[in-house]
Amino acid sequence: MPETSLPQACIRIREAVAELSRGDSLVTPPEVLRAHLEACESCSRFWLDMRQISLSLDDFLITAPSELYPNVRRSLPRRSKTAGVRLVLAFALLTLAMALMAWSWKTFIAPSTDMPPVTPGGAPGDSTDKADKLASNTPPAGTCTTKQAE
Amino acid sequence: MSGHRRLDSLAALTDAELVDRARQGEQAAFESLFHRHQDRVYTIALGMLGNPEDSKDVVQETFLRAYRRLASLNGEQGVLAYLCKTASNASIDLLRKRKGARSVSIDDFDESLLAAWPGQRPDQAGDQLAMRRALETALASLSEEHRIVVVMHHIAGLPVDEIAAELRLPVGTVKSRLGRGREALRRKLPMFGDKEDA
Ligand SMILES: [Zn+2]
Repeated sequence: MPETSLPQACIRIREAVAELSRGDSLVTPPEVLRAHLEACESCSRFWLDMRQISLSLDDFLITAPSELYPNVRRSLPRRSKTAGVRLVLAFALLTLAMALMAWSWKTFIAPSTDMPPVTPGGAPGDSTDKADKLASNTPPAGTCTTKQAE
Repeated sequence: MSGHRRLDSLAALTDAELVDRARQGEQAAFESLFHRHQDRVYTIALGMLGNPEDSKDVVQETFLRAYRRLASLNGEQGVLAYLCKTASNASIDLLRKRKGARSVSIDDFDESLLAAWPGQRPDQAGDQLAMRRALETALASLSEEHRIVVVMHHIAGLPVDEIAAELRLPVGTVKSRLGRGREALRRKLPMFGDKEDA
């Protein structure tokens, strides 16, 4: 029987079923709905089919291709639980390097406190040598600047 | 622990626990979430787009978005809901990109002879595999406007008002399409009788 030629009662009942399934308030009294579904073979078959289709759709799954995850993994932004540890390590290394530089400076480059003051007219090269060394902040290779200063 | 054994042990965890671990940087936990939900996400995308290549892109995009939002994901019941909604949205974006924003309005009267009767499993379950295959074919042959709302509602689990908002359509139109979509499925599925109704 085409939908257009369904009796009005059947059309109303099918609308009521729709309202129920959407959680809308029911215009048709439930007992009328139930009575019609029990009496009308066409509507009850329709209802059962629709319920089966809805339930099958709810469970319907297509298996995804297996190779999808590697692509996702490649695109993930880096988020590592060792990131914090690495940061602390980097900071510790930096501190160590700075301490080493400070120690080298104090040990090899900086003038000792008992060094005599540089006098004007002193031996040429004395003060400029030291200024250069101070500016360059690098100990000359293989030399002991403390001895030089003495 | 080998990768597979590691994933096996993670498979016993809940979504919430996996999200928690993934937040702490455990990538295997995220991978486990991926394997748990990829079929659902893929089904939504394929159902809406009808194209496997685009659907793979949607799966990737969906999980990347989820990864970026790990901090705010509600693990208990929110992960699957978030993934389904994101997959639907990503599919809609792709459809719009494909053909430009198209606002379709149907003024057809709402026959709405729908039925998703609550409760009760079907008693005439029949051959599940045959049903699944038939449904796949029938779904693919639905018109796009019907297929999209059917997939969004039944497979992604989105309520009608949310679908209406995402598709920028009146709620009544979504209800109507949902009804007509299911009605069309009934006509296309060979195991359902009363063909003279159609
Ligand atoms: Zn009837």
